[in-house]
Amino acid sequence: MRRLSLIMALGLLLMAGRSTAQRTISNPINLIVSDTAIDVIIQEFERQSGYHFYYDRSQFDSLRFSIVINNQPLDKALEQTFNNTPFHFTVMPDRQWVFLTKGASIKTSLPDNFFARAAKDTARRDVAAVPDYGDKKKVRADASIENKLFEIGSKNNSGGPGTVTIAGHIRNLKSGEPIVGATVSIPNTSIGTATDQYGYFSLTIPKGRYVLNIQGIGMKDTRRQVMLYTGGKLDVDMEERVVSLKEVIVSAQKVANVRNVQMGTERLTIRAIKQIPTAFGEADIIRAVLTLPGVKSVGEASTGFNVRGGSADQNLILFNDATIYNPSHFFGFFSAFNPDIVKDVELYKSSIPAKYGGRLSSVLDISSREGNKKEITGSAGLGLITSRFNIEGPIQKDKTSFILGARTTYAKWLLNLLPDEYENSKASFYDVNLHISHQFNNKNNLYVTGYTSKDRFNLNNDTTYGYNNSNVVVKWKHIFNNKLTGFLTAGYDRYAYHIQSEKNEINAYKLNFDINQLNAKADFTWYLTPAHTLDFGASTIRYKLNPGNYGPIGKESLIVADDVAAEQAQESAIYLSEKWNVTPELSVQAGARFSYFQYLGPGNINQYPKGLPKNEDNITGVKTYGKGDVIQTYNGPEWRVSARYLVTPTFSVKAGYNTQRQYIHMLSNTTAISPTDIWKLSDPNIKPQYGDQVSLGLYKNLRSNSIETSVEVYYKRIKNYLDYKSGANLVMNDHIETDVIGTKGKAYGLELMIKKQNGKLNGWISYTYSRILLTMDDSTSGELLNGGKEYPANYDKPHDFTMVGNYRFTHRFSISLNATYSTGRPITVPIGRYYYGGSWRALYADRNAYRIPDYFRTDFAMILEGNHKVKQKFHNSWTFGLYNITGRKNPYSVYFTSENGRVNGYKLSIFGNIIPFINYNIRF
Amino acid sequence: MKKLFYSCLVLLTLGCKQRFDPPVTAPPNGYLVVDGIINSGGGPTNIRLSRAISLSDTSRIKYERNAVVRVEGDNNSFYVLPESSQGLYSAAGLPLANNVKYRLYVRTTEGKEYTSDYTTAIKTPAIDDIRWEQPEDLQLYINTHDPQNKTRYYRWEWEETWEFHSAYTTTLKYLRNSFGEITGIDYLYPNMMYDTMNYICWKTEYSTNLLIGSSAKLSKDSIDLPIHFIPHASEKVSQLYSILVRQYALSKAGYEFLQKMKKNTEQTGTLFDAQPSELKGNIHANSNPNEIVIGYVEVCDMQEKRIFIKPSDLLAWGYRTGCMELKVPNNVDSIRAYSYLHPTNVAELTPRGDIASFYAADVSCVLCTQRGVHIKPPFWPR
Repeated sequence: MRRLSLIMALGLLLMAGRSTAQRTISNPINLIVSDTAIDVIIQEFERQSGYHFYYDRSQFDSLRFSIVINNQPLDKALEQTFNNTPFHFTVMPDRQWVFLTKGASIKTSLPDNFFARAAKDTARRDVAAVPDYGDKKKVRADASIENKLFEIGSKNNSGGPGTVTIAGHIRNLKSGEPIVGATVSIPNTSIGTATDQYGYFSLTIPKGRYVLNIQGIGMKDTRRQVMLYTGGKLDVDMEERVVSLKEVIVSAQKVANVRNVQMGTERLTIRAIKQIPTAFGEADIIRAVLTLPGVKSVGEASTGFNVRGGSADQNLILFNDATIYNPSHFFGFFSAFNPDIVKDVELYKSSIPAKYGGRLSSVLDISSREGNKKEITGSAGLGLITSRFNIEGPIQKDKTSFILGARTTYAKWLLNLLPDEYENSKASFYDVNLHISHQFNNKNNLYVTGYTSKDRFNLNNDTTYGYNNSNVVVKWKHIFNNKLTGFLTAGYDRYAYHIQSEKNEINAYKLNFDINQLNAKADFTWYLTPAHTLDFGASTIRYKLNPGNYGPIGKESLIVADDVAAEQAQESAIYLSEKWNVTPELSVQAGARFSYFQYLGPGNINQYPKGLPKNEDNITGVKTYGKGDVIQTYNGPEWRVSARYLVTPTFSVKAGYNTQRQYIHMLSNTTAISPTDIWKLSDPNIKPQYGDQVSLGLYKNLRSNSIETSVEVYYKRIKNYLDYKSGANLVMNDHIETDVIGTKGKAYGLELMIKKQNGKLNGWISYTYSRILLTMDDSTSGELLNGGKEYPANYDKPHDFTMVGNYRFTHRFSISLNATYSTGRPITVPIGRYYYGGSWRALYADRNAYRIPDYFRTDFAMILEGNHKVKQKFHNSWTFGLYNITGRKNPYSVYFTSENGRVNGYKLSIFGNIIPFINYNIRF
Repeated sequence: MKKLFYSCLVLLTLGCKQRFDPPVTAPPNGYLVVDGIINSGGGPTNIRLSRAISLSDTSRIKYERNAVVRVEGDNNSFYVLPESSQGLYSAAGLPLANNVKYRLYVRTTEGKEYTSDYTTAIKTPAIDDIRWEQPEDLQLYINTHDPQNKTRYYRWEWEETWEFHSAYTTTLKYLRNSFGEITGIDYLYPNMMYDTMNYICWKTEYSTNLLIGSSAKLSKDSIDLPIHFIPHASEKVSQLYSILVRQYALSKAGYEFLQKMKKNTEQTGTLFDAQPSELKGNIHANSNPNEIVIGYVEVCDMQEKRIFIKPSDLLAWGYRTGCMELKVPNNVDSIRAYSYLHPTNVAELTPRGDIASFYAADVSCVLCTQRGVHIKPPFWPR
């Protein structure tokens, strides 16, 4: 290998003044390489041609090449290799030398024009931080397709000028999976669109000839040449980027965060999620979401999360359109989604699209992958506590595919290691996902998703807890024409829990609770003109809740069966939303949703006199309603408005205003989501929650869009948020309105984020300042919390700093480091102690007046992948890591308890040590 | 739930709890604490008045002294409870009428007046049984029922007393000079009899947790609940054990008050804790309804029952004293070196009949009065 500085090369240039061009300069060259470093290619060129190459290796850095050279002379081979790169080559056939230079070419003779192309414009475009050699791909096998002109529509029917619509699906060439969020754009214009969750795009443009650039995350960029006569269809298959490192193309189109009209939207791909270290080494969707700005949780053992000052029940968690009520397993140590099935996760925390409704704070939309349409593949993962398996493949090639995933615990062996006194402990969970997609024809697709999860635990306690989610969704997609697409969705969602205890025969009991909902909706997207896109639709949900079903177990039990009357309701909504590109800079999305909620009979409603506290003593009567009676109706509009102004192509300002209504509430007086929290529908005594939010954001991309930065501020008001009264009893309570209290809330915050998605070093840093303050000053409710003054909610953690970083040393080895800091959450602490009933006891007063110590944690993981040969049967990877490397005993809660007559304070940590983990994954 | 948490810790071998010293908060202004019931069954009525203190205050109970305490009827009758000892206001048996509602009235030395809500007397059913189960540990249960299915809410207190013996008798004592230094060993009594004052002892302990129960969800007003637990091989059942359980009927509101207090102060520290909350009883300051007053005064009678348990009633109780004797030569240096032990009996005599060596054991193995009292309770059967 020779190295030579440019200066030396120039010196040689002077010596070489006499040389002349010669056409046949070497043996023909044959070379097929993919993603190869320059050294290897040069070596090969030298071997085949006999020429010596002079170049400065450092100029090439880690640029890699993929080329196919078929029996070409050296100059042609070189042209093919370096075309569209900043590199120039100069051949001196008499000395058998080749000089490679960057930026300027070496002329070995005066305007003799030895090789016209070599001297062509030296004013090439700047090279991005991550080298861009996208056009190189034209030498690939699909080069012909990229250069082929697709004539769409018929020339004869084209009529005069006008706009036409081109639409189609973008799929993965290998697996046939649709590619979500791929951009289809016309270079050097602001015309572009992105594919929806089914890989579908629609673009309305004036007739004519275009080059469509198509880019997708994790895919090789491609382009299509089209000639549009009339509207038509264009399906594109994209190749997967097997090795994605240096091949990232950074361009003006990858500025979704700047250009998107929606604000407060975060998308995480499963790839990013898998890089975040978790306690047990298994990728965890909810934990990943918790690293995003504005998302917090009360503690480590809780899967409930809080978005911008909202409570845990104010998040709509959708898994392929199925509502998941309890997104956690095993006390919240695992989230209920199998990482092998999930494709990506999108969190809307500010501009919630009008098609979603029913929750105040956020929508977490989790989509599963579609099964491979070409061949059967699968993967399996082994961890210390869980293992998972998934298999996918075609049922009918290119038409129907399935993906099936399952996950289970084998914590039994762990339990066996416990001392004898815990021998009766049991804890287990499983979940199963099945997703089938079927394509009838170009216009009709059907998707079926089934999900079930089950948890059961009993830790040496005579009480067994269990809960399960069950969901089925059927979705039919119909493309009416290139401009109009519709989705019809129907589903059934169920969440149930049960508690039972059989130890004491007299008191042996079981308690069941369940929520059932049947829902149907129709959503349409109409690509009206390039400037106008309409979304509209309607939805309805039929709820049936069995809030408590309590009964005896066994003959000896004296427990009286007791049922809290079932509740039913219908929640319907219609919406219309328009995206209007006013100018290329200004874009507005305005939508309205009208929701209509009916609380239905049969039911018995307690009557309370106006202006008096709702308590049992004030019940003046019970009104009975029959089946089908409408007991109470609530309705109202919800506004969803957002706008974006593009100041420069990499800098935008966005603003939004949002209102939301929520008719189903989770009632809890515990800190974290516990498996025994109950859900309650709004009824005459419990008003719906109402919230509105105004937000403003600035978005700026730096360094050729490789770094995204954003600042968002928001202010939010909440009405009728339910807090519990002191000492509330929420289970088996048929007058629950007497134990809860409507509060007003206000939340505000500032979110800063810097994100680098590409390159060897990638990750993000976020900082959030936020507050959520509640007020209960309604004197007619009988009890003022904290004397009617503002108090922070349980999850009010003003400062929050998170860093997620990943560094790839090689394609096969990377490390990840997380750090997170947040203010301790508020708690109620004793203000004193008193002696009562033979013991000192703690005296509590104002709610949430103190905070637990601040939280800080750092995690580390190493991801080691097997080799990347595309054509091998198994791909495997290992994840090793340490959770909480500083071993800090972060308090989960602080509590005071009376023990042997004294009051002792304790802080309880869930993960108080360093936790090593290991996980093995295999893909086939 | 508590168990759930602890086992959870072990399961994951990760979690842990540590002592936490609470922040210094403003001292509560000494809120009044009223602990006791108005006894409608002819038994004694004892009301204890004290003040809440700040967490950092290490003082003993701060009693509320010299208050005027009365039981008042809604028929204008009243009975004064004089202060019988510090903060304890008692009367031996109040002739309360069944059809009258009663309340407690307190006037403190500051002149502040407090009253509880008028309530009717609740009849407490008799205790059916205190039964026990013993696979290994001894678990005691309370059994009661109300044939009229009216009582539904109960509270219990227990008082346990056990007889126990020193592991070793002693006939010896240390000889000491006027500075208290050990100079030798001698017989305790000239007749070489053993010490009877430190061999048999009794000890009494009281329940410190709130023990409440309800049959509200049962078809019959019948209770069978665990009330006390004695770990396997405990000394408590080494000779004779006795437990006295007192039972009180509660109103629903009184039960809820105690349940809330229990949740706030005893049932904390689990993963799914209910959060602590303010506690409001049925006693109010007349001048300021928002002043915190802790306590719920019920009007009810008391039922009690006592049982005895002998070691022979139990299966393989396995009590061991855990004591050991050491042989110590009778010279001053050795005696002083082992002076942390207490002498028990002579080991060897010299040919002249003097003590050549003696046995000694830990003080608590020899003198039962280190842990209990040598006063036989009046109810003790033997």
